[in-house]
Amino acid sequence: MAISLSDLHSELRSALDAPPAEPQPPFDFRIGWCGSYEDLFTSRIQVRTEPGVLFARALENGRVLLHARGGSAKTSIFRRLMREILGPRCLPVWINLRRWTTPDYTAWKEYHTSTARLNFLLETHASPRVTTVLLDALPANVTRVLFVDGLNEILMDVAEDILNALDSFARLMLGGSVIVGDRMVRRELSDPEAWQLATIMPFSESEIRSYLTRGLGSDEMYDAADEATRALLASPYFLNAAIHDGHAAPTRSAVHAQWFKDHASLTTEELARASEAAFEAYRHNKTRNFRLADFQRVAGESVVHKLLRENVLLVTGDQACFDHHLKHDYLAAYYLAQDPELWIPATFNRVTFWASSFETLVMALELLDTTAAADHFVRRVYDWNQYGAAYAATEARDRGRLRVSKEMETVLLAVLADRQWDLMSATATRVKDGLLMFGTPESTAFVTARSREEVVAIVDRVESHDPLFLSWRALFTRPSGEIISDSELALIEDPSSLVGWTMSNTLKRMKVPEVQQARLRELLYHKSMTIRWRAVHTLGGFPNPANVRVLLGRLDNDLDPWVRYGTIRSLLEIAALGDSRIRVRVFSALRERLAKIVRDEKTIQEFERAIFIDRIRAPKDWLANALGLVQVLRDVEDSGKPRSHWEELAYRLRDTYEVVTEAVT
Amino acid sequence: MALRGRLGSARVVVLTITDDEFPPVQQIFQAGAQIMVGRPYFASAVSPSQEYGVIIRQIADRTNHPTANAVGKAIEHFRPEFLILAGTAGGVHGRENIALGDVVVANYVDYCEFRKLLPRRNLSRRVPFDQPSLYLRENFVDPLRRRNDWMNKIPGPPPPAPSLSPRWPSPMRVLTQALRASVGAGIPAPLTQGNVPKVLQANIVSGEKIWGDPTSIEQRRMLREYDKVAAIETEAVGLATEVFAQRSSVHYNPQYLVIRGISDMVNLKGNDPTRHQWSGYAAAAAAAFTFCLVQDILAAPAPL
Repeated sequence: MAISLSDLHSELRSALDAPPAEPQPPFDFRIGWCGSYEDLFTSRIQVRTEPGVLFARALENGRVLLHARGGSAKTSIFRRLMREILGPRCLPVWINLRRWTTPDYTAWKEYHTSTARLNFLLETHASPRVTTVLLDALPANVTRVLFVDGLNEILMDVAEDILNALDSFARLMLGGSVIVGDRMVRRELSDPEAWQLATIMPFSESEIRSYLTRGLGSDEMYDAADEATRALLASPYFLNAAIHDGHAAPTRSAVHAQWFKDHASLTTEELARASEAAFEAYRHNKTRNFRLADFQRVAGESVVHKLLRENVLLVTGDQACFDHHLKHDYLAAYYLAQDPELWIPATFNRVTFWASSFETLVMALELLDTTAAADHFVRRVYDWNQYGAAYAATEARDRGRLRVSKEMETVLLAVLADRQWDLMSATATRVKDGLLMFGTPESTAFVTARSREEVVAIVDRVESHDPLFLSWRALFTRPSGEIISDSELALIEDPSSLVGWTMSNTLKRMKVPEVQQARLRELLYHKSMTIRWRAVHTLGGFPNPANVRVLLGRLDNDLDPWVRYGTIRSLLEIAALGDSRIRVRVFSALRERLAKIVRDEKTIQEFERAIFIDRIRAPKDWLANALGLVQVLRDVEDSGKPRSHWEELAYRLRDTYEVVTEAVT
Repeated sequence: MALRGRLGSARVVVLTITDDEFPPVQQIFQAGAQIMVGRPYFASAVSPSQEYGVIIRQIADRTNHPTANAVGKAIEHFRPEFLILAGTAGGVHGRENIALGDVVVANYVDYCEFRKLLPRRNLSRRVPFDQPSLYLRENFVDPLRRRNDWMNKIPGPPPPAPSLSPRWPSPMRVLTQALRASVGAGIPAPLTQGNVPKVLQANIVSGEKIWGDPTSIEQRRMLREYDKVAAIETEAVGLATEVFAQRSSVHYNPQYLVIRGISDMVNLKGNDPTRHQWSGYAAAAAAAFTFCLVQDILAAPAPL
């Protein structure tokens, strides 16, 4: 079947002409280019360019990742760029991952090769709809550029599969390049040097004033705005909203509250129903898309009518999504903030897409009335995800001030900062990324601390009479190497996550005699998975045969995936901290279990991360032992992943440890 | 019409691995010009149009995975018609009359590492990859190896022959050799053949280990299994796998060769000192043959 390039162009043009419309007046965007993720998270920009350079760099390097926060206009830039480059020697293809639906996750599992995965994306979510065969059949001198929009809408593991498939496209397709839009997060790239990292520059004061003047006739709004409002106006999404609404607000949630009231004309009762429907849409789907009928059943006909009238809901067949995910996030946050019963891990997983996107948490926190309620909310988030809690706490503000108490902010940042020196390299990198990206003076102080003692000094300087904070601080600042009493040891079972996990971590720095370790081993059979996980975590700090034996038992038999996840970490930690006999014992035991471990999704993922320990602290035989395991994974049939995946892991291990350990070939 | 990659076009890309291998290739091709700062490619001069006859690069690390990565990048950057991996390898003494300093052009590449281990069983498993180009072997390698003029490009004489004893110099070994001679099986070739290296088209096996222990049970098993293999190395399958992957376009038909100078014999004692002594010469021999081969390829009509 012959398909002409002009047919493909027409199909793309139709997609580009569909709503939502471009901001008016049109904004001029600037792209900042960074040499590394560290530079990206600290806004160290090497060079600023026009958006057109995204295309030029994609042609030269094959791969561009455009990282920016929600509301930075990634989609607008992509749409504009695709219109500009579309021509007789260029076919842009727009892969819109916002169309991703729950069944897509099931379908995705059926595709194991890069070509099959690309074809799924191209046939299901692309405009124009194409295949790799069709793209290849175009004349050799035609440039094929994939614009992948909304990688942040996809669960982390699938998003990384997609990046690998796109890397293959750039490598194999003649004239093929990719430009990917993503949120501010470090991705595990198979070939980091091949990717160009870019971000969208926030608007400067003069730019904001200029756009306000063009849109509203004057820049008085900027003069009247407080610092928080001005910061929000630097974001294209919120500046556009301010120009169209005629007023600005200091928080994301306040902007949206006003919008739904003024533009969608939702009454308080309708807003409540819309928010419940939006929340339920997240709860029942792992995507931004939902069945319109389901939404209407909860929200009611009048609400849907108003949202459709304002083009807030975009409908394709029986599916719908919001024109911007921040509107959906706000409605879900509105519902979440009303009901503390919903502040549980299952809910947090749903509204954040399994810790991929925290905007709903930020806006929920903004909507809480009191600092006490905010602290309570953040503690519940902390029970689920330390990083998510810190992100929400540092982003959510009220009249320019943090929504949570100073004490809570300190706890969250200190706990992350303490892990900068984690034995597992991936953990250390992730917490540093987070602290850098938060960008507050407090987070900067923590991330620039050169030792645990400096972190403790920052914590000690906080003035407080809050008994919870004081008891937490007493634990956190306890000098290493002391002996803990039995009553203190029992705090590992404390219902408060802050106390329980801090005890779990503190114990690893202490002298824990055998009798107390035996008590910890008993806790591995506690009915609460959280207590088991904390005990597993602590025992990783104490390399001895008894601990290895019980941890292997938990790896084999514990029914909870998070406990098994913690167990593989602790076993590798024991192998790293122990002598060569313990190490051989752990690696031999893991080798015997590899066939089972590869089928345990969370455990094998964590194994692949945790096998990379701090290279300075790695024992000399670490590489040989680690390679032994990875080579078995490479050579076993049915490892669940292609051989090349394990070869690459083996190569990264050699690359990381070969200089230090010197002798392994 | 030559295809273009991201950085330009090249008809031939020559790849080397070790520090012994790159200098003779760079010298003989007079490829002193780095074609772009920050890129590992060299040519005789920088081309304003980014169109090159031949480009060379050294791959940063040994083994097949980094080789596959480097080949993928070279193809993405230049879309070459031909890729040649030039360097050294360990020979298998007693096969194909092979000697130190000889040049082996792979006519078949095998991969020895993918195994299924069962109780008392060690089974090979296959991964798909391309085989060396018949077009290049028939039209360029065969005629060149019969001309012998390529040897004049080797800059110096070979090192002295090592005084090595074959594996197991026992009375049984001597008896076995005598028996083989008596039934016409011949005695294994000498370790060197004076100043005259020869070019063999033979099987190569590629893995992830540097084989060099004649007493190793694993090595002996491998040599028994691959009984026609004349040389052993650690990068050919990386090249072959990537070329196989790149053959996914109707527009692109990359072809490759593996050219290896023999620096040591994996099944003889003292293999390591021999390698140190002979690597330079073996690399120079492979570079000389590769250079003459590339000259012939470039002299042939280019695609219209």
